[in-house]
Amino acid sequence: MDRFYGIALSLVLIGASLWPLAQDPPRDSFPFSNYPMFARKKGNPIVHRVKAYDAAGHRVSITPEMIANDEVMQAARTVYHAVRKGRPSAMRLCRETAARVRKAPQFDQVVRLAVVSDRFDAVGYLTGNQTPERSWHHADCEVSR
Amino acid sequence: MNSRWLRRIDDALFPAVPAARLGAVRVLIGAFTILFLVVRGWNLAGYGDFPAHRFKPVGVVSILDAPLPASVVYLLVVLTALAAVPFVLGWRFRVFGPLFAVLLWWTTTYRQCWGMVFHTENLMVLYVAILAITPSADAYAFDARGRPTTAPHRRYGWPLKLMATLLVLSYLIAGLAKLRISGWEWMDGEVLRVQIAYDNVRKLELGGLHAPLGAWSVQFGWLFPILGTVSLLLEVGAPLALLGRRLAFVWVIATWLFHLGVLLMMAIFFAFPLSGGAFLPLFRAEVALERIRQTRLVQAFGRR
Repeated sequence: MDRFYGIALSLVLIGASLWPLAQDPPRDSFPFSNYPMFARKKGNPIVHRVKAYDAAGHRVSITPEMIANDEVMQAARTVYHAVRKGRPSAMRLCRETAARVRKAPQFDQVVRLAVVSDRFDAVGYLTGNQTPERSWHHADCEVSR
Repeated sequence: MNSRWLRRIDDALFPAVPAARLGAVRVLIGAFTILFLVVRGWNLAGYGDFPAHRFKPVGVVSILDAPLPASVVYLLVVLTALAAVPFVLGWRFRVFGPLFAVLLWWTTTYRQCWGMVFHTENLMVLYVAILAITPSADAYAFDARGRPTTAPHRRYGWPLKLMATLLVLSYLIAGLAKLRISGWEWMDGEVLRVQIAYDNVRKLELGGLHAPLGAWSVQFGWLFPILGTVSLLLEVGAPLALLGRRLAFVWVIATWLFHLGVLLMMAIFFAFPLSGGAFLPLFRAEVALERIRQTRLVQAFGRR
């Protein structure tokens, strides 16, 4: 009985673990994953983000919690999905972020937000050239107080 | 095939091991999950406050069309943390073992349903699921108090074998994904170099914690064919760890160093393998647990 149970459970879990490999295209899931991280050759990174500005137009750094939570990757994916869905979605993200910034006293000086994407030369960036190769502007909103 | 070979295969797949080994894995993995839930509980509960339009369910959470009310998300995180305690103690395990496994599976999956699938908790969740539905509370457990010590048995061996198989499969699948997507070209290091640069640039620009060593090292192109080749061989060669304790030891040390490298080069913290928890099924976990029990801190705590 032990042996039958062991074989059955092993087949189920090993099969489920291998299942993502059999899918075309492979689909990531949890806890059974095709572990696609670091597999794909990346071009130059496009960083999607929400930029914050004070009244004088100077840039202010805001934390990932203003966009999603303390995970910087979660915040990055949130902006990515919003940008990919188009301008109305980017505007909605801008307003949602503005609502959170408004409630955060440490960002009192922020008056305006912009959802932007910047493309960098990744290796060049780390060896001195931090100017974006190209930028896209998706949405703008005020942080009314 | 003669009966000697069949017996060898049988012994390899269903080894007879002491109940203490499986019990020790339960205690140590359970303790890790408690630590995980204490450190990440706030983050897990925070998904209750995410706007509904960002909900992209994966895995078991796909049964939902819309996110749960925030109060239910908070409650489930609290219940998961509470259920972890009897899991570690081996108390009323037939109830709390599976309950904890289901809650942990659900809570960690819920975290993946907001556009970003993380790859840091997969093995932890699968290990807990296996431990919950196998006789892992026959030792180091409240339920086992007063019972005579059982002799080594195959029923304690196959769950560990299964966990070890899932461990090496996770690395093998990651290696095969690289070969499938980028081919053997992945070993020339350029994919890895750009990946490390990409990851660090993104973190620098987004205000996250980046890896200064990774950012500095991308200028040395010669380094990455070595790192790429070693990484891919470790992943594709992971099943070798199942062939014996000595091979397992070599692979575990190399893989632990690989994760340390990922931390130093990309600031990505794979806590489960770096803590050693992921590799426990390959070794005599009861020896490790006994050593921990002998430490002054644990003994002082026990005397209270």
